[in-house]
Amino acid sequence: MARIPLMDEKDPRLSADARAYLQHVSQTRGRLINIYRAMANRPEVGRGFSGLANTVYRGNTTLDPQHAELAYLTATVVNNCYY
Amino acid sequence: MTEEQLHHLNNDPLPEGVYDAAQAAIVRYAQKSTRLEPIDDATYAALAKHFSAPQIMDICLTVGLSNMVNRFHATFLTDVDQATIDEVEAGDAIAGVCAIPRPKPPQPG
Repeated sequence: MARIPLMDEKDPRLSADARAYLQHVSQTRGRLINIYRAMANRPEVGRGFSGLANTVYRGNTTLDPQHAELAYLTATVVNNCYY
Repeated sequence: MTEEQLHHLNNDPLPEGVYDAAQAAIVRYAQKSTRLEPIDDATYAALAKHFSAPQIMDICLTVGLSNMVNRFHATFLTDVDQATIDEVEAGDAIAGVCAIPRPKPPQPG
């Protein structure tokens, strides 16, 4: 059970900024997963996070995909992350 | 990436013949950086042999991004989406269990 709310994109009480952020992520990533619903507690952070990810890891990275994925996955495996 | 490459990401030393030199340079660096160990000259030189400075920056910051995401989940205990669980289990049924370990979410307390 997450320690912060996971913002539901269908919740009418959602702030306009959180809704705009979730819609943008849904379009650019193709679907919504809970990390973005959690980030929607602070959409400015979510946008900053996506900006960094799209610059160094995806989209505009200077790396070819397999090298970027090796860097990302190795860290996750070393940290034994469950997500 | 091959299943075998996925399986050995946390091995130190890395097994011979699983990664090419450029891949091994990334994996060894990502291990050390994640464990907050010093990035010695040999580790950096192995990267510099295959990648430009901008590329090494992207490797460094991608490792950092992954660590940030890992810390985010460890802090907020973000629930794994049921859709993701369903997809992973469907994949296991087709191709066998993924080579990457899937630890259980930590229990609060």
